[in-house]
Amino acid sequence: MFDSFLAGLGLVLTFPTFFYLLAGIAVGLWLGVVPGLGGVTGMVVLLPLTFGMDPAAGLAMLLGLFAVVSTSDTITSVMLGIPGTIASQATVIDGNAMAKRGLAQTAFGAAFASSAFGGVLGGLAMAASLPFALWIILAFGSPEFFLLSLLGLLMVGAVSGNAISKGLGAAALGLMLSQMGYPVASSMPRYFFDQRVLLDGLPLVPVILGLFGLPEMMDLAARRSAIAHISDTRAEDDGILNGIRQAIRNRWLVVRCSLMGVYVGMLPAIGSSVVDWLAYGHATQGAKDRSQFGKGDVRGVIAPEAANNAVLGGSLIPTLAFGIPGSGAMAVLLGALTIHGFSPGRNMLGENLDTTFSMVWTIIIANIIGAAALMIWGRQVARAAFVDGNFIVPAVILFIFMGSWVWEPGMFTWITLLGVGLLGYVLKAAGWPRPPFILGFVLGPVLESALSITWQSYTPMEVISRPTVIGLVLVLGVVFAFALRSTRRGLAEHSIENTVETKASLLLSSGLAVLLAMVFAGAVWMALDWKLLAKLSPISFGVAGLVIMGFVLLQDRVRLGRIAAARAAGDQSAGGTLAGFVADHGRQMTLLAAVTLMVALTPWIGTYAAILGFAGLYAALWGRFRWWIVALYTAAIGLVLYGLYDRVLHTPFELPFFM
Amino acid sequence: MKPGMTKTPGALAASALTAMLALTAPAGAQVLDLDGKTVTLVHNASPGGATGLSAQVLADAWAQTMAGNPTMVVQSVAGGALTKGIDHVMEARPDGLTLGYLAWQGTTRILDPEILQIPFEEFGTIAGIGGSNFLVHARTDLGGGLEGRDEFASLESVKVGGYSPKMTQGMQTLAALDLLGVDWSYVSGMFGDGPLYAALQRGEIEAYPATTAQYMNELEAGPIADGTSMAVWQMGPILEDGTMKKDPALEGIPTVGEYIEAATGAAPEGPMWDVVMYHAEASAPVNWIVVAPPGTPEEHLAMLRESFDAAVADAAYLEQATKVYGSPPNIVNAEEMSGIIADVQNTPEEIKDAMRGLIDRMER
Repeated sequence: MFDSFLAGLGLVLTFPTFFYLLAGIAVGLWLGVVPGLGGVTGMVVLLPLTFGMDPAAGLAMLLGLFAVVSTSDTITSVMLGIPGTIASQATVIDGNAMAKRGLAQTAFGAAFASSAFGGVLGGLAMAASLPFALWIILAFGSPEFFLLSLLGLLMVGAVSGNAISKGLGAAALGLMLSQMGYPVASSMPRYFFDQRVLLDGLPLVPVILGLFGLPEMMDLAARRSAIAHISDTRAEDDGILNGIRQAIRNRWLVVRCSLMGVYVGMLPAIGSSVVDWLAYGHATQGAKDRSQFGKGDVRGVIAPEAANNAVLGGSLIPTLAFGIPGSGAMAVLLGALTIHGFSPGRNMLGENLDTTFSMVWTIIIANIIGAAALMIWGRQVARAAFVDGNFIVPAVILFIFMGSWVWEPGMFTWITLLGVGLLGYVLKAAGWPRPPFILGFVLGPVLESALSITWQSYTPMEVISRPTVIGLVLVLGVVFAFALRSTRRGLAEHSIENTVETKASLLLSSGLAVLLAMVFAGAVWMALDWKLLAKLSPISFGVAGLVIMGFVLLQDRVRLGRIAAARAAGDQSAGGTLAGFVADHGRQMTLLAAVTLMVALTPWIGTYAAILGFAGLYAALWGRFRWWIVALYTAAIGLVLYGLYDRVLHTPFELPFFM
Repeated sequence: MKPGMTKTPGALAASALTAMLALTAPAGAQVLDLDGKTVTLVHNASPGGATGLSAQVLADAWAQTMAGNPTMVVQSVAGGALTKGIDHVMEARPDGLTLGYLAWQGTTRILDPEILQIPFEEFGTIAGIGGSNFLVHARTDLGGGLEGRDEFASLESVKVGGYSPKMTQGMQTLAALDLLGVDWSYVSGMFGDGPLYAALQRGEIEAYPATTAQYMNELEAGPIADGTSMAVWQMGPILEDGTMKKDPALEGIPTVGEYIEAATGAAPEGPMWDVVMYHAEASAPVNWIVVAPPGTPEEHLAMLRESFDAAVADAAYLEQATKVYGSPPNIVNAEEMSGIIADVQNTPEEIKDAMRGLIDRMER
């Protein structure tokens, strides 16, 4: 095996393989920065080019690209508060808070160092796990997946901060919305309201970009300032090296989260979409002082970044050993393997072991080179935190809307993005943490699928007699006990959304809870006549949601009572005023209205005119830039639309009505 | 989705011109000029994966044979349980710049509610492409241990796995088990050969319909050679002589009809056998349909069909496609494909009822 390990290194270092690896890294670093594109898009674009290549070169280019995307996506998460890819959602919370405090370079240094370590450890762990990888995959059947999904859902507590009931409510909403479309065990679609576009449920990318991206851009536009709130160019001790030192100081957190990444990565469908939340939850639960989480705690950056880079090593194992691609990227890689005559299974662990190890080396080398490049580049990128936000907003709006469109072209994608963006903003304004929504949305189908298969395949006795089930139930019990203890003692003093609690925000929260209670009740009522496996999950989620909404309403009522008591005691400023609340959010709503108009006009005036019109008008009317700057800026936006989305990605655009 | 999504400003102008010309020239009388243009081959699955990969292989070959030698790009329009991509091509302008490579699932789609029905006959049909045969792959430790495939028919019950209750090969397998008198339960939710094989090894399922590609790459020299599993029967399309096609790669494995006849002593018949044969005739030959938007000029369609035939006969294409499909692709010409579409649209109610009955039992 060791000979194959070295032979794998030889394959990667051979010319032109190494050259293609560098090319893949360069493309991957760039793709990670653009919200919505990510590694899968890059791999799909490059895949046809690999058909005529030597297999090692083609695989090195594709994997090199994908390996570094989860390193460079940190830039968008930190600077803009928008996940560059699905893998960097959790980095948004503390990474963006650090950038706002002028600590972007420190966040970068910590993130890139953790990413490099996580990636290298992920590659090595994959190599070391190969002898028993088959055992792990076969030991984890549907009952274990169900328990792991529950374990993931328990992290809702950790990513809700001090708003547990609202976090649970957001998770319940995410779970319920994940139930749209065809269920695993039924031939009839659910909650599709006679709309074909809903048959596969809501698309994930616009949901994530809408939930985090739009509200951040609304805030940035309203502030009329740079991303960083401080007036000088850098916080006192900000620097890449300081970030690296922080990562070293938290080295055991890096190691634990990297290993978490590897082993979660081995579990198809869970992987990168939730591992960063699991790691973030682990970091908050394991910390003695949690007060800075949500406000710019470097551990909130280190943990998810170590985990999301380690995932790739883990996810390769089921892909190569079983042909089970746990993600879109692995599906593309499987395609590349197929076209080059490799077949997943025992061949990849036997006669083609050197090729398998060449992938391990590709991951290791790409992570090191990628992180080093970004450390050098990071200083320049961090300066963007001090650029006028009005330059940033239209460009980012372009990327998040077109990034969603690339995944599922069509107006429904933009409507989803807008709708979820509004939801995200309302959640934020009402003090409901958004991360639990994503956890629920991603884990809902995994949970339901595992439950359905378990229900169909096993008897109750078969389930409870499985040693892995017993072990996981114990883990689940321990984690639940910790979460309960933490909640009861009020240990989670940190806030995820940092929303100022006012009478208006509490009324908004209560209104939201009433609305969602109606949604949950309606969803349960609709499901009553469905077949057992089609209705089991939605009814469970709906009933849980109804109960949680009751708690939210109760909690809001108590808090409103406190404000009323403070006012009765003479403090007339307690709880703020409605006029103040409207003033705080009015500008954000204006931007949302402008974006809504852009979307509404697109079917009539076409994609080009809608986006260019928005960018130009924003720069002229909101940014109040000089006319030639507006012209140059709009032209640059047009160039990106044409060059990247049209010529390179071949995205089908909406045409104007007269064409 | 708005009709006629397309590409660049240049292409927009070209589209407008084409549309104007279409108004002044008699429809169906010209081969559209594709010289210097970009033709988008739309598929309806997620990026990557077998559909995207096979579309790319086809596009590479077809661009060489299509009149005007246009650039061909592959575009995924996924979503809506495959309908989004189908609708995209259905509503595209018939300007030659958009073609479809669509996973169609016609034989089970006809069971969907009216709102989900798709008028496939309105497309300009170019061809159909099918992959390899399927085989039923089963564990050998069932019922106290199976010595040979004959003993599979004497099992009391078997737990069969599949993607969803509407998987055609799953339906065929269960219908055949009914004919053999073997009780069954169905476990859905395992998407693809890999997850199904892993579930078989874990014991979550006891048998499943596997592709020939998996048989050749993994099963034959692995668990089947080890004796831990076996290939029971194969299922493929129906040949002109009325018999089921046998895949050369599955030599020695009987067809489902041969197996049932050998086990029961009589040729299979009845509603369940009709379901098996219905899918063999209408579904097995074709996994993907290759189409042009409705209204595409007849001469242009003729050019597309000819150039397609030339492309799929190319040795380089066949080599690449065989890697993707696991065996040489089954090409169905436009006339045959139109016949299949018509047959599916006119599926007898008895067959539909039999399929609904099976699905009802699969969903329990």
